[in-house]
Amino acid sequence: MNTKKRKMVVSIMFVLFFTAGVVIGLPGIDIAEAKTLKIGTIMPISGPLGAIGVAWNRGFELLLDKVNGEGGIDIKGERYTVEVIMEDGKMSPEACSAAANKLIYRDKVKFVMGEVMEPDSEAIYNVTREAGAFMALANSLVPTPLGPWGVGKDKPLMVLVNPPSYLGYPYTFDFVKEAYPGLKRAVTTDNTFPHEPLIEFNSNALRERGFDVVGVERYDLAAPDFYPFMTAVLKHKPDLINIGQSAPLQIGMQIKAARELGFTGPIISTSPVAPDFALMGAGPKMATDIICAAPYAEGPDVPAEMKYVVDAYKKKYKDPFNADVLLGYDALWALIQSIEKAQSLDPQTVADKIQTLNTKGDIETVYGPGYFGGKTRVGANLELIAPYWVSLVKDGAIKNVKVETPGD
Amino acid sequence: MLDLSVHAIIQSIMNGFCLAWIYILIAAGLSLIFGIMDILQFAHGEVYMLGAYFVYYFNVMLGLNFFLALVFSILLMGILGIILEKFIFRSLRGDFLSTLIISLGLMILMQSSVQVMFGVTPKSIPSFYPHIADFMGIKIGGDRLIVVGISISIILSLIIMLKKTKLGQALTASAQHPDASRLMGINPYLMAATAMVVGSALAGAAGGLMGSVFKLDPFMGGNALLKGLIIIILGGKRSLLGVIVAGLLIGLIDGLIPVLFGPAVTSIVPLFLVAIIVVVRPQGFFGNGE
Repeated sequence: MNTKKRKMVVSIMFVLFFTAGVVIGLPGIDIAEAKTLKIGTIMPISGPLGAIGVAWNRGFELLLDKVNGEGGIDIKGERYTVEVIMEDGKMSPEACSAAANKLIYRDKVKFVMGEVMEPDSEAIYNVTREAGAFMALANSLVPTPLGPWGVGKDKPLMVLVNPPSYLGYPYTFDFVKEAYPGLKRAVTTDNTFPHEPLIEFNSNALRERGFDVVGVERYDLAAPDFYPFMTAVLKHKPDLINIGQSAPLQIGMQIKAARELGFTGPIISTSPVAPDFALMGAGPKMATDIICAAPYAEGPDVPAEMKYVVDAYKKKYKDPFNADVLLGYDALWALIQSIEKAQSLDPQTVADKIQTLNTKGDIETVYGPGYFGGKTRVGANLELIAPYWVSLVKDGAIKNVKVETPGD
Repeated sequence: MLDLSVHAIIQSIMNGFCLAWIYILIAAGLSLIFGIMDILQFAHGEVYMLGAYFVYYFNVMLGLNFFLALVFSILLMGILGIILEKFIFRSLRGDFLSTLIISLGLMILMQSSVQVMFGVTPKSIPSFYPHIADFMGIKIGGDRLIVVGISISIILSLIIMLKKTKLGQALTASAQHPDASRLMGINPYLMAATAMVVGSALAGAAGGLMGSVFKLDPFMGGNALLKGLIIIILGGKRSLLGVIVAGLLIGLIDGLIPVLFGPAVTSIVPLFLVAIIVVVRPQGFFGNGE
């Protein structure tokens, strides 16, 4: 190598070493990797359930803003920033399985949350079980023991982080019984998903309160028009209509159809859908005497955390507020609280700790003080239990009318 | 299931009659495009969906009167028809497979665009006439009745245009005998463009009217396209009368069958009818045997 080239090589190496030295040596620059708790989520972001997945993801984002804004979480004296890696489940077990594999084996997460539909959740669980990862079950349309698949003693590393909505139905029916005495004939409705156990539970709960369930009608999820379905409902001449699981605006459309076809009695919505959607879909004139198994999140009497979520949502997003945002926020919050209380990132340690968080108040939720229960139903404390809210839409105005927390 | 009062049956028939006119609007547009251009416009359902979302945009987001919003939406969908014909379908005329693939791609593009622009959360347009009409106990929402009236007016206008105007007669001739009409000096490109404009405007009208009584979501076009295709197969490819008759039949099925037999049977019956027609009379009720 000639002298000129040698001098150039030496100069370049000097610059490189100097720069590295400055970077490493400068105070405040910590090149050790910052501690991060990675959680993977698989929700349906695309497809017909995209609205639900997007709402849940927004709930996650709002929680992350808050938790990380407050400095993250503390595990054994070390601060961890929480990072959520959001994947699209695409309403497909194959896509969910692929996403779970990617999260666990490529992204190295030990905690996975998902999905909305049981087949998709089962696909995720098959991956997390093999890997010994923790699965936070986001939703169970027909939870165990009503349905065939869900949390149970045989699945110790899976916990339902969304309170089973059916536990709240009796409180809604109790309110209707008190507020609308003398009603007798009830019709229960649902879509064409396999919700038979929920329909049976609903019907039995109504009968226990003295109602005659004179009909059960189902509607096609794809049908745009609810007039034919409501005509079928009204042929039973009900005093009360109980609308089962429905998407947010579908509830409003069903209420509108019922009112336009002449039904004037109370209508119950047992979906965990905000009463605002009943008002939006049916319009203020027709949205009256609607009882919803969901809180009015903008009411003056809601917990501070719920108010915070609504305010933060409105500042960050353009779309109208959707109660599924609360579910997403709450589910991730429950998981993070469990990890922090366990003071461990080991899935089994967290699962063991959850078994002890079975007193009201052990877990904070946006709905109020909650806990992990389910021992009498599924054999272990594997279900997040939070207060159930009942709201009433009357003459175009909404108010919360009842809050109850079920025991185990 | 047959324990139904006369009232429930008449209500069901009325429900179906109202629904039928929206279907007829969708199918008429699709039939016109299919008849003149000989292409299966799979994105027709998405044009219908866009029509609904533009009414939402003008009426709910910009605060315009509903009917003005509807007119703007129809005009915009007509312009979209011109753009689609001139820049996409014209160069692919005669190549059925390519136009099919392109229209599928357009379908995905339009769905995705709406999701980006308006989000995935379903929307609703507030009722422009929240009153209830009562005909001897048979009840219909006031806005729904007006929607039916507008749909019937549009179809009647279309019939008059096709029968009484030179352009309409040229369109009819092009649909019936493309080669002969070319020999008579009728410009095939003008006919194709007119068919796309009118067809897309009809889809936009159907979407805007449907969106005012039902919910909007980016995937609402699929069901509309399916209804349109079923109606064309049943009624006949180039027959507006066939579209009207088949549309009324499908509307009646959608109105009556859920009340009689439940939702599962409702989705099967039209497909069953299509299967029978394809075997027994493949040209449809009023098709001309092509």
